[in-house]
Amino acid sequence: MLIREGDVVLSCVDNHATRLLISERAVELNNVTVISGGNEFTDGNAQVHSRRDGKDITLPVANKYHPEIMKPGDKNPGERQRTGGCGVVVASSPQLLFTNHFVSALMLNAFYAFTEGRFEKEKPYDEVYGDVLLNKTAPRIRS
Amino acid sequence: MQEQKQQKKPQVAMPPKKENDQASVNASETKTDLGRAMGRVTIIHGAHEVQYDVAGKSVQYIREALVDVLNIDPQAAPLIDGVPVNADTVLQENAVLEFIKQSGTKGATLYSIRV
Repeated sequence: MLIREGDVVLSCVDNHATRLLISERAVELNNVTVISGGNEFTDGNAQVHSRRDGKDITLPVANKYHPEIMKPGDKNPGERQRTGGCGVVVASSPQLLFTNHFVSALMLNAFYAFTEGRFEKEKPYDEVYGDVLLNKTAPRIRS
Repeated sequence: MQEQKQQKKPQVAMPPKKENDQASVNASETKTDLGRAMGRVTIIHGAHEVQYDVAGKSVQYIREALVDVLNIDPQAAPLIDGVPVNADTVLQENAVLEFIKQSGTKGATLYSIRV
């Protein structure tokens, strides 16, 4: 298994099917942290799943608030006919470097908070949205 | 008994300060239309957060009125004060209505760090 006990996973994948796979693996473990980022052209988000001693401190990446991940309409790269992901959609829906950097910053902010113990017991947020045009972030507590 | 009654009293959170972001700047006409209702409501979609006097209006009414202002996805599920609701639900004053924005699709590579 790629993801094991105690891992911190920075998930920067390009499809929801893979996010679901990562999330399903994470909830099998007792201690794991998954920081999952994704973006559209000018906005995006980062989700933080902190699991300690078999209990979710924050929501898994695949949760009831994100049915697009619970039941993804795309396929992961391991599947034969790839229907989603950057390689397919970039031609019709290009990415903006600024947005990629913005979301990576959201993820690294979460990672730093993790190293400071912020996701060990308390719950700063389950996910955080970012918008380049607004130059704004908005953390959300959902659980 | 009095203490028990006090404990049951619902806590009404004051809405956050109105923002002067791009959405509210571009929404002058929509704001005028929505402003006929009474009571302030906070409306959220992704990083967008705006406030309008739309208490008494339904979730569906607000979705249609703000679909372009907040770029609300038709599939975005509504929450009021964190609780899932349907389109017919009427908003109360000081409510926080969120249309849940889907997670972004794109990314780059998967990294795993052993600690």
